[in-house]
Amino acid sequence: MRQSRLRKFKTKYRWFWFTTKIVLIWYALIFSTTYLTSNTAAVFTNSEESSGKIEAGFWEPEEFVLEFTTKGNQNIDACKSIEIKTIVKNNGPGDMNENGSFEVYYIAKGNPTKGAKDGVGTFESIESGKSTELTYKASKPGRYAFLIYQQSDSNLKLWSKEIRIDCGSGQEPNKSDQEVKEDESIVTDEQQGENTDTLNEAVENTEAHENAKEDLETKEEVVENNENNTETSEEEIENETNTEKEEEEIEELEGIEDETITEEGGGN
Amino acid sequence: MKKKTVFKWLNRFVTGVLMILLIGVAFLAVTAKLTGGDPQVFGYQLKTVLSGSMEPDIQTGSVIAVKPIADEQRGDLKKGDVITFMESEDKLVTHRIVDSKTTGNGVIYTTKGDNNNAADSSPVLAENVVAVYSGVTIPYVGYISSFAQSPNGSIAFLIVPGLLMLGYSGFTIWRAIRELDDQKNKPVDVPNS
Repeated sequence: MRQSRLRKFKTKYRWFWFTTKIVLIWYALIFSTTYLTSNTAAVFTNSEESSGKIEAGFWEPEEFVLEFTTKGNQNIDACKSIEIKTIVKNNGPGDMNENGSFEVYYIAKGNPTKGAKDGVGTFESIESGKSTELTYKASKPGRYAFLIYQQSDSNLKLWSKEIRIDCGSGQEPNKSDQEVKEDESIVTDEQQGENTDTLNEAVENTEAHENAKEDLETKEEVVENNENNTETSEEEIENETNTEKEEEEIEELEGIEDETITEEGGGN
Repeated sequence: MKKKTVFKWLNRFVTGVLMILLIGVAFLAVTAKLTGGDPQVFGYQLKTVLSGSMEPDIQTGSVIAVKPIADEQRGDLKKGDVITFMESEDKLVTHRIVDSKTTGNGVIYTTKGDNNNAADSSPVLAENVVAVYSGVTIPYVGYISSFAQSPNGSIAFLIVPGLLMLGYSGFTIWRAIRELDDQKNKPVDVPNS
């Protein structure tokens, strides 16, 4: 009786027991997975190496500041390869430690800074206050511009003024090679001649300036000596008058020096 | 009749699985308490992997088995071994050794995730190596495990089935009582049974 009732009970609620078992299995599974892996903080790090640059500031370790001193656009009338030039000055307090390099950009028409790179070149390091000439052999008519970087590894670009080479005014752009070569040789000869001439002139000028400076310096020295004398012997009034005269002379000389300086400034 | 036998076998199977699971869980819990360390399965620790730095060997969301390593063996690991090490106090990382160096203070390993393009920034001291990857991974279980440990996961995996079970048992009890009442109303049936 009892047994049969229990059996009846069992068969009646077998689905209940079955579900209970399934739920228990579920709990056991969840518990074991969480329990077994709970103490693991094995989260993987994923470090990526980015190739970007972070510029925290701008330093000028070499303390040189380059500037193009050639003012205005140059217009050159030529139909053959010609040497284009521009002048770069180091306006910074420091000298350049390494030789610099420049790029030349070309475009047939329009803004050469938007054009394609035509060539590269190098120039020797420029001391503070000095300038140098960049030259480049331009092979075809169009618009050219020099590009230099302030620092060899920085992206601070410095563009020169535009240099236009126009093939116009009756010249024929399509000459035969031989003619072009002949022309080139003549031109280069002429250019060399001109260059040497200008160089000579420059040398003469600088020499003259230097002589004038030397004169000034020697005279100043004399004045100083005289001043010393006056200090040691104040009683000698004649010397005082002399020094006064000398001072006047100095003032005049200084005026001259100023003039020379202004000339130098104008020359640059 | 056939339906009944299928159910009978299914029921037996479920009972068997439940028994094995209960015994297994009890065994694991007892051994973990006795050894005092992290719970282990046959000498292996299970680690959830939740990032893809070691793909394709170890997939994100998988559980891996790592073998804890004895102190004296920590300096003998080779280039190419995948190790689990303490990157900081509470952070374990599993990466591959790409270089090992012996210095005055011991062995230093450089590690890298297979899927990373660069080695880890800080090298690993041999004493910080916890375990060596055994090569066994169980995919996707890590997702379940980590979800179950989250608050939402506990609700979905534990509380909801519990409530359902409670409701079902309540319904069953109610049905049983009703049947008893029915039996009381029909006392004639009792002697017949």
